[in-house]
Order: sequence, then C-alpha cells, then structure tokens
Amino acid sequence: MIRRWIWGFALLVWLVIWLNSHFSTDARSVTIYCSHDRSHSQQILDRFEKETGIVVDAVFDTEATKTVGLTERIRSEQKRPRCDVHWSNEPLRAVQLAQEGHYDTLPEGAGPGIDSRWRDAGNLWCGFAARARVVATHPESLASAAIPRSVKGLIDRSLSGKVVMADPRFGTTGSHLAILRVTLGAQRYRELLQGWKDNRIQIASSNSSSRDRVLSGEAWVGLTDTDDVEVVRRRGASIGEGFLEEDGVILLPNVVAVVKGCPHPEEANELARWLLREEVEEWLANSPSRQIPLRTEVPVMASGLSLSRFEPLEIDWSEAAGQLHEAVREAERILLNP
Amino acid sequence: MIFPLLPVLIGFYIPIVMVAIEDQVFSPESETSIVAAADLLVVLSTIRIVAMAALLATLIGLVDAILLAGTRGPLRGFILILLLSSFLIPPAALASAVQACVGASTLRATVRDEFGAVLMLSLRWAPVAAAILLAAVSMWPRAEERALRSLPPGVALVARLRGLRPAAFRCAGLLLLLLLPAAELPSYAGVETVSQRILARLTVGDAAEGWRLAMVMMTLLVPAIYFLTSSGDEPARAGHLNQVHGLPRLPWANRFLFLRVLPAVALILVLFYTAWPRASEVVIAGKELVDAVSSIGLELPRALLASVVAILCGWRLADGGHRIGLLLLCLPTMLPGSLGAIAVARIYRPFLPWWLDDLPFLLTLTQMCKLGALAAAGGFVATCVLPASERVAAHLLSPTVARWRIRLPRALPVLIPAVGIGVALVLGEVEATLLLAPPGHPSTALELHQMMHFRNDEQAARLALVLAMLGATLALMVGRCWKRGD
Repeated sequence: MIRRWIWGFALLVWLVIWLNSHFSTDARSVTIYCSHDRSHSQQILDRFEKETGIVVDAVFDTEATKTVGLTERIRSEQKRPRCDVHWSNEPLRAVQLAQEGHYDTLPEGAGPGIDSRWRDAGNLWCGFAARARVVATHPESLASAAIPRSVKGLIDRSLSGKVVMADPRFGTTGSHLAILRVTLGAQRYRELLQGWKDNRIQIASSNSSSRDRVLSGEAWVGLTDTDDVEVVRRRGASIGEGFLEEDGVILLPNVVAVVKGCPHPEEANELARWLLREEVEEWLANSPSRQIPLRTEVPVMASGLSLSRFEPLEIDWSEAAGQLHEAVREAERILLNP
Repeated sequence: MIFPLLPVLIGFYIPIVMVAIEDQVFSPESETSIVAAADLLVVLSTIRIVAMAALLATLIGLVDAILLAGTRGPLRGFILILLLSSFLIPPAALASAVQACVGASTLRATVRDEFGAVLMLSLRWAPVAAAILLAAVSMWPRAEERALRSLPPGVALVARLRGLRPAAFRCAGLLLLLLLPAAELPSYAGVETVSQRILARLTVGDAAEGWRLAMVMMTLLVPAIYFLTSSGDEPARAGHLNQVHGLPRLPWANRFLFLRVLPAVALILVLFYTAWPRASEVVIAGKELVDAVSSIGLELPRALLASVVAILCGWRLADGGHRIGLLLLCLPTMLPGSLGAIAVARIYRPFLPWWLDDLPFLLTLTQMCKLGALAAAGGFVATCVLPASERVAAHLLSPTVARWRIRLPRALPVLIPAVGIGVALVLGEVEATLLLAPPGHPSTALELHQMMHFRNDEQAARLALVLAMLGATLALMVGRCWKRGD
C-alpha cells in the first residue's frame, strides 16, 4: 500500500514539473527557429534575453540526421505559425520561404550598413555574417601542395577517388550547386557533375562528415564550409583550407526573417532588429564558427576572415533559389543514382 | 479491433490520406511519372542492404542469446547489461568507429560503402535481436529446458539453436521493418537509402513525388508483413527455470562473450575518458550532467507512456488474431518519421487548443505510430508463447477477465522487454521531434546530434554516458523480468 502511495506521489511530482516546464508564465517571449551552430547562437540569444528581458524559446536544427529540418517545419505550420523569427544559416531555402509567402517584412531600419546585395528587395529577409565555401585538404596529401582553386580542379585525375562532398541535396552543398548552375549554365553544370562522377567523387552525409573524411585521410580534398574547418582547427587538428577563387568565392550569409502571422510580432521585430546589429556579426566573426561580417567596418581578429579579403561572387538569390530544385535533381541523377 | 488501431488511425492514416489529397498525389496528371526506374532501384538497394543487416544482426543476437541462456560463467549479468545498453550509444560514435576500420580498407568504393552500412546497422541492432531472442528463450517449456540440460553441452547448444530458429526468422523480419526507414547510419557510409530520397524530395519541394515513393515502398512490403504476421506452428511455452543448475560451463563460450562485449566496453571507456572534465571545467560539467539527467528524467515517463500504449495495442490485436490490424499497425514504421510528423502538423495543429499545442501531444502520437512494428511483433510473440492449455482454460472465464487477468500477465516477459526497446527508440527519435516538439521541449537525442555535429565532444560524451547508464538500468530491469519467468 505504502509503495503505491510512493509511486503515486512520484508521478504527481513529475506531472507538476513536466507541466510547469511546458506552460511558461512569462509575459514576454519569442520563439526562434535557428539552424546556426547551437553552441554559438545560444550564447547570442542568451545575451538578447539578458538585455531585453524577453524570454527566447529556441528550436535548433540538426544536419547529421538527414531530417527535413526547420524549413519544412515552418511550411507545415503555415496555417498556425509557432515560430516568430527564422534564423537560417543558408540563404536559398529562406529565399524560397519568402517566395512562398511565409515571411513578413522586417522592421524599418533593421540591419543598418548591410549592403543591398545581401538583403531582399522587398525587405522580407536580411543576410548577416556569412560562411564561405572552401576546399579542405589533408595536410599530408598531394592536394595540400596544389590546393584546387576551382570546382573544375576536382576533376583532376590525380585526385581520382580522393575528393569528397556532402550529400548535394541538403544544406549548403545544395545551395552551392544551385549557384554553380546559375553561373555555369545548365549544360556546363551537367558536364561538371559528370566529370566529378567519372573522377569517383565520394558522397558523405554532411559537410562535417566530409571534413572528417579529409581529417582521417580517407579523402584528400573535401568541399565544405569555413566554419566546419575552423571548428576542428581550434581543437588542434591539422587541416588545409583553400578558397575557390577562380570561380569567385561563394559567400552564404545567415538570414533573419520574421514569420508571417507569428504569435509575438512585437518581440519578433525586436529580436530581428537585435540580431542584425553590428555586435552580433562581431561575436560570430570571433567565435569558432569564424563567420565573415557583411559590414566592412566590423572588427575581425587576426585569424578571422573579413569581407575585404575576398572577391565574392555576385549572386542573384532569387534566380539561384529558383534553380535549386533542378540543380539538386540533376546532381541526384548524375552523382547518386545507382 | 478498432480501439487498438485508434492511435495509428488518428496519428498516421487519416493525416497521411488528407495530406496526399491536398498535395494531389493521386491527381491524373501525376500518374505519368509514378516512380522513376532509378527510384525503384534505390528502393531495391535499400531492401538489399537492410535485409543483409537484419540477417547479420539476428545472427549475432542469436549467438549471444544461445550462449547467454545455454551456458553459465562469470559476470553473465554484467555482460548482458553491457550488451543491451550498447544500443543507446550514439549512432555517430558507432559510425565513426566503423568508418575508421572500413573506410581505409582496399575494398572497391561501392562494396566498401555498402559493407560499412551493413556493419553499422547490424552492430547497432544486434542488441535488440539478442533481447528479442532472449525473451523467446525465457519462455522455453520447462520440460524441454530440463531435457536440454541433461544433454551433452554441444548437442544442447545445437538443439537450442534449432528451437530458436522460428523466433530468429521473425526477429530478422522485425529488424527488416525497423531498419527500412534508416537514413542516418547508411549516410555516414555514403550509401543512399529510400528514406533519404523521400526526404530529399520533400526538401526540394517535390512533396507529391516523395509521398508516391513512400507509397510504392509500403505497397511492396505489404505481402512480406502479412506473411510475418501469419501464425506459426511454434510450440506452446511455459515459464523457464531461472536457476543455472544443470547448465554447462564452457570456457570458449566465456571467452567469446568477453570478446563480444569488448567493443562496447572500449566505446564506454572512450566516452568516459572524453567526458572527464579538466579541473577548470568541473562546475560546468557537473551542471551539464544535472541538466542531462533532468531532461532525460522529464522525457522518460512520456517515452514510457508512448511505448506502453503502443505495445498494448499490438498485443491486443495479436491476442484477438487480427492480422489486417497488425499489418496496419506495422506500416507506419517503414516510412521516415518526418513524413508522418509533417502530415500531423499540417492537419491537426491548426485546430489544437493552445494548452494541448504547448504539450508534446502530437509528438507522442507520432512516436507511438513509429513503434507499430515493434508493438505488432511483441504482441505476436507474446501470444504465440502462451500454452494452448492455458488459452483454452482462459476461454472458460469472461473475455475481459481472461484477457487482462490471465493472458496479459502471461505475456509480460515478452511485452516488458518490448516496452524497454520502445522507450529507447522514443528517447533516440529525432525526425518527428525536430518537427513537432514544442519550443523548449527537452530532447536528449537532438541535443546529442547537435553536439556531435559541431564537435562539442566532451559535452556529447557526458550526455552519451547518461544515456548509456539509462540503457544499463533498462537492461537490468529487463534481465530481472526474464529471471522471474512467468
């Protein structure tokens, strides 16, 4: 009998704690869907919380599981949005959401100093703190002596079977391919893919897996992002990095947008404006994700990357987002189909 | 039959059909390209890889189960706990260990990738196979068990192997269903599965094509599931002898089992070494540990609830002999969790009252549906092991008393391990969690993935250790349940 009472009491205590954890009594709160690295973005959101007193409920994305991710979650919640602010770590899927009508206009004056080429003409989204697409190289391989400076360099026979890229249908790799399709044209894009296929390119699950294969020596060259390289460098790993300067360096900014019909519009505007401040770019630039500030006046530490160092490729975001579907389907057909 | 099917009807079939209609999956113009030949090849290659992995995992589990049940030796309880708890070690850790061995091999690239994927899947799921087969062994007929113990050790082991063969086939079938939606582990090996392809369709805006591919896969597998749920001619079984008296001591079996748990021990030691904080990190590490324990503590009862309800539904259908019902219960398991989650979010969320929307109600419902195959298999085996004489005797009582007072308690040695596996699956589930969990809802599996991705190895190791400890606790409970027999 006493045992039953103990079990009953334990169940009651759990129920109270569980319900308390789900029903927050805070008057002001904001929900953000964030696909940027949790360990860095959480600190930034904590600062916002501390500064404004607005409680932030964050839902973070994950790349490694091949889930459909937060973009699809926003789509599925269209009739009753739960998200207030969308912080996407790559622009093309955000552009697609904007085109599909999921975003509201950003508050006036958000993101001062950010050039118009990094923002939507209708002010539905604004980019900040970008990553660059790079090739990571194994330090003891032949590739470290002559790092490819163009995606065409990955067709070189000396690299046969030693090049790795992430699954082209997900994440920034898909965006990279869409941009290549826009810049090269459909025919040359397909030839490039066929060249990679003939050179026995390896396909890994994600950018971080590509980097890990380069680290282990399984591959000599990996197509990945600057933040993936920097994270392991800061942990003492030895890995080379090269920018694809012959193609024009592809910068993929983070994007902030306010979701249309969101439950906390006032707080959403406040958070969006706050995230687009200079300080946030500075924090991200100096964090292990080594983002590239889109404002040239933002100070960057010596080992960081600043915009002035590159000749970034001019990208028509709407055009690239429009080509994403075809680029991915062709990559699937040429690179992945059995 | 309808009542035990309610969760799966509400949580899967109704939303799926409504979304399929909304997305015009069945529209006449879409019929021209039902599924491309290349997609069909991916379906077939997925089935091939998954079938090989299910067979290998069953084989490993079969050897484990026979040696653990048929011999005696030192530290058997500890070995059992280590074996079963290795299921909760993060897949990414297992994948990197396998890749380190297989990735640098001189095998041809495609063979190497497929071999790696099969190895990862089978090593991950072998503990589940061992658990299922140990559950079947624990219900061995008393008289047969006594007879086996009087035989020479080698002959007895072969006889046990023969006796477990039907259960092993069913176990392989169940693993096949549970592994079909696998996307994560094969992707680490660079192998594409049909789940990945379906998800890729959804992410690039080809939702209708994704749904059609999912339906083709379901249609292909319906006959297999129907066959699996056919009643076999297994002997009626009674509670086992829980003493080790009469079991042989075989030194080679001890050596084999020690070798078998060595990788799990090595992995746990590596986790422990990585998780151990430096002097300056002790306070933070302590806080992380407390956070991890509390988030798992909050999730555990919900996972238990989802698992218990799903398993009871499976048992109720099996107990009533509803094969079509079991088939309907199994089907949602074969699709990626994201599909069901998207459908549920689109169809139900707009109409949920706010207080229910703030709770993980839809998430629990979707996760329950994903446990369908496990529930059906658990219920099926539990029904098979009931002696015919007891079944007949139970008919003399009222149906309710016979079901809940006689047949259910007799099925518990099989159902409780199934609930344990279900809890582990719910706690490790990521796809539906990412799409349906209310903001702020704790998810250990999701956190673990994010930490592994961004190489926060120390934090990930601490969380993984807590999960491994939870796995050990579950294994301990399951082991006690088998010892009690009936």
